[in-house]
Amino acid sequence: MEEKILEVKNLTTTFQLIKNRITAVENLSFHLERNEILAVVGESGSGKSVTNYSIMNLIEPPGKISEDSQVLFNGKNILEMDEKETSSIRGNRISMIFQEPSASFNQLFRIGSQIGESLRIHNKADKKNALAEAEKLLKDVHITNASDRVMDYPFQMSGGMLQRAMIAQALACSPDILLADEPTTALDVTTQAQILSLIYEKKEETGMSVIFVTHDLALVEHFADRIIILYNGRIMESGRTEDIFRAPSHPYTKDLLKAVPVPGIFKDSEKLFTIKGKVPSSDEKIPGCRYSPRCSSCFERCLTEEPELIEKENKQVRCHLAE
Amino acid sequence: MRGGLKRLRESTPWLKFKKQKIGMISLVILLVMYLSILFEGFLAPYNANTKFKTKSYHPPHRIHLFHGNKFLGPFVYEYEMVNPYFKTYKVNRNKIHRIRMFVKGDDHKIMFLIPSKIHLFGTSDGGPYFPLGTDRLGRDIFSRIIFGGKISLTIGFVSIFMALFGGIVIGGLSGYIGGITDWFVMRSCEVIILLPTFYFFLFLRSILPSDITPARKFFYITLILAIPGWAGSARGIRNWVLSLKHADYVTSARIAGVSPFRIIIRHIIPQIRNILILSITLSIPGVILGEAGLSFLNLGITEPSVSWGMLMSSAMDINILLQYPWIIYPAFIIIMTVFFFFSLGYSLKDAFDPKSGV
Amino acid sequence: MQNNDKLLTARNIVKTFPLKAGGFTESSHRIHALNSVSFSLDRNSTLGVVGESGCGKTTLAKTLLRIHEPDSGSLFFDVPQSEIDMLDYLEQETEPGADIEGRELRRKTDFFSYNSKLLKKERIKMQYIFQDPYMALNPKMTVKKIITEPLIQNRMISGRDIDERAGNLLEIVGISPSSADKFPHEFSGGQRQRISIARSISTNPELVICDEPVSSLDVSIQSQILNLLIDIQKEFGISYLFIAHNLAVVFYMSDYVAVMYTGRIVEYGQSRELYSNPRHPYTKLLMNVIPEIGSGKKIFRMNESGEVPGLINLPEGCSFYPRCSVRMDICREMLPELEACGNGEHRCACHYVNRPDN
Repeated sequence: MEEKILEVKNLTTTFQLIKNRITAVENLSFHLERNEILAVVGESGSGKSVTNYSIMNLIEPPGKISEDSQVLFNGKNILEMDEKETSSIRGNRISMIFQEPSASFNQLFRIGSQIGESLRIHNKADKKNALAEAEKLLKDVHITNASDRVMDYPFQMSGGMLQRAMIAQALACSPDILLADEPTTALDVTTQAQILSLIYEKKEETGMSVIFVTHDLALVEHFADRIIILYNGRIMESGRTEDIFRAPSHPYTKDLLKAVPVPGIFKDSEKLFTIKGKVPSSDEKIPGCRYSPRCSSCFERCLTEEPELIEKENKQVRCHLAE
Repeated sequence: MRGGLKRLRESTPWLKFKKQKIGMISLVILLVMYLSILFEGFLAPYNANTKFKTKSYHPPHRIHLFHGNKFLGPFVYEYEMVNPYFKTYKVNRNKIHRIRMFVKGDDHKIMFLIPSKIHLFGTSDGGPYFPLGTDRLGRDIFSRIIFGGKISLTIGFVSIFMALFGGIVIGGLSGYIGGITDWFVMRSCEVIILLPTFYFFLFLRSILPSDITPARKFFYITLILAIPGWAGSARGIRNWVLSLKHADYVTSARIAGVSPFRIIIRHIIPQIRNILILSITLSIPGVILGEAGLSFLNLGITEPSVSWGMLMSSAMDINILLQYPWIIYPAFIIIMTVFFFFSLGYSLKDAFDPKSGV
Repeated sequence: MQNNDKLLTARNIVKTFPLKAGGFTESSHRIHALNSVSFSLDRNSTLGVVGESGCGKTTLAKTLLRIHEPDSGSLFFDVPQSEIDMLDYLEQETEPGADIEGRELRRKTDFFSYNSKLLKKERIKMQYIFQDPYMALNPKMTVKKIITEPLIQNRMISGRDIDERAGNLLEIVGISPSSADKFPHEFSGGQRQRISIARSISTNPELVICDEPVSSLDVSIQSQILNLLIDIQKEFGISYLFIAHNLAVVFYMSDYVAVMYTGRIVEYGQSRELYSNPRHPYTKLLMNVIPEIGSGKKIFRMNESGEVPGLINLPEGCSFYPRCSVRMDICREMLPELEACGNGEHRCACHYVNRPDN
């Protein structure tokens, strides 16, 4: 029996703006097991980043997490903890890496001291030990000349290197969960492969769990253990990676798999498969199934009645056709 | 401009601004003040230079409603000078002047066009009524404040727009061209900014000849007041141009063959419109105070023109001020105007700030 | 129509940038962004340019348009081959007078030698589509103004035809002509990219440079835009310079592909040939790291840890040497030249591939 390290129940996060109210994610329930990689796949406005921030209880007004939402970390609800308790978890037991590494480092302090900072806060390490530890962490994420790089300022590093440094910072307190919010989107394909390898390697080494948020389904094919597919704030399909790639059940998943061009097709022989319509913004209210305006197998019922998330062949699917 | 107003009413900054009570009140009051310039002759009971020879340093009239026990509506008693040397007055309880709306008086032109004799209020029999008293020459201070608004309020706007125009042209091109040009222009702006503003005004003013027509004087003073503002806005605009110069849509306009000046006007300035509105609002009080300062020292607007600063110059002597305290009233209107501009500015700042509360 | 002529021939383009040292001083080091880049492009065809960030893709595009002025090199754009041959002849000829004639001809044929008037006229035929559709459209202009600006600026349209042309352009890119008066923020990312495309084809250009046109779009939108670009090419006979880092997309879109590394083309060839027979170790590396559904490729099991070298002090030999899996001693000392390998015009700059015994 696998152990659930994190369990999200009925997560609903809304944003109250002047003119309207946006429901970024609605009734989201999922769990994360120990030492697994869970990929959250979605396009812009699907609510994937909001999910991450909600898990960390980092939603700030005008955003609001609804009262009945629960984020259980080792059985304790993070959303009900006081500021002191959450900050002992944030950056310590659960850490986060972002798309823009330059945004998460202060440009005015040296990389080493910034990585060492969380050690000094959470592990009460002294300055000297923290710096030595930072150097070791940088070495662990395969930064060459770690002893020199510790004294670098963020602007002296390339994008890929900063991304590694950010991972080093996130791993400083050997967290139980790593939340990765599109960590490779701003990177080159080569660097992307390096960062993925690094995350995978660290997961194997430390036994942590990873929630990997991305818009690129192809990226997580072998990388993730399980996948959640989000669309317009809803889970459309979720299940083990092999099951989803072998036999996708939701039309959206099927379309996504077909829409990505693979090498070896050329414009003179084939036309690319397209999904019609546009990605709905998070403030759009779509009656019935959220994907119905773009779905090629949409029928009457889809336009009026939103399907429930049902269990089917080891997967969860939200589609009337699957019932 | 179809739908422009509708778009404004639905825009987020406007919705946020509407919620700020002080800002909204300031905006309304300032609009009323600027509108009143058009109706100055009508709103003031007398013309700015109408002199009452026997009413020098006349104290403000008290408005009464009852004569003995008899209700008469609003009226004033006539004050009679008892000591022509010290200009002391005593109330003559037998001479009554009733205050009425829309009475006939001095000639003036509504909106500078339509000749009229009608004033908003005054005494029914043409007797004197001085709501805020008179100055040394027996001129009604209330009327002079209203007439003074024309120069004091417009000088702020005109010179800020002059400064802004200079700033857009010089700062915009400087940032757009870059290189050595930019370096020199910016260093000279910094020198101008570093000069103590008021002494700089004094210096510039001292270069001007003293025997010039009032219209020219107004123009020169406006120009002088515009100079430090020019340097400041040139710097600000230059920084914005620098940050927007490499925006894709600016590059795209360059590829399309749009000229540099047009790129600044069409593609860069509209992006910083909000910031310009804000900086105009917050700069006007400085110019109003600058004009007041110069005129107070008799170096700005001089007789026969009227401005608020000039009105205050009669309060320069502490002995006169103590004896006839009502001549300080023009100072209050300056303070109020400055206050309203600042509170309008800060409300706008909050409204334009995308991060401020929703 | 000169069907045998190339639309574009670029020769030995070099572009360096000064390294800012602050203030007046410029450091003597320079960033070598493009190092002798040569290629040609047929009419009605697509050249794909692929490489990691910092390889000079975007610099190449902006240098072709002279948004960046090149240090040296020449670009013949929409010039008959006979004139290029003539120029070559004149510049090699030692006869008196030939050099003057040659210089004269260069001013008329070499895009990099055009004066600003000729540049403005010729640049209309070359347009640019930016990566980020949010940055590429001026947020304060209506869609109609955005897409017709190049036409109006170059006086290619009369006032009353504007509406019709705008509607027509929007229809081509699949946006309802009734949205002409809307602003960019009312559209989604994919729609904005369509508007960008409409603007870029408004002047009937010969060449459109697409700089990562889909990489900032949602996955489900990308293929819509790619198909649109292909349809437009078929209909109007436009050529594309298609820049991207995703090899799968580049192979699909292009007739020819150039792989760039540190400001040099390291491999060039027909799209199909390059896909089925990649030679340069860098091309192979790129192909190994693209995620590919159903391929069983595990990109997170790569042990590649190289970094793109900085462009300030380029090594004497091959700049891929530190990352190369098949490196030899000669690679560190001598820069490999682009040499023919494999079928057709397939060329590769690699000592290992081009070694005599291979």
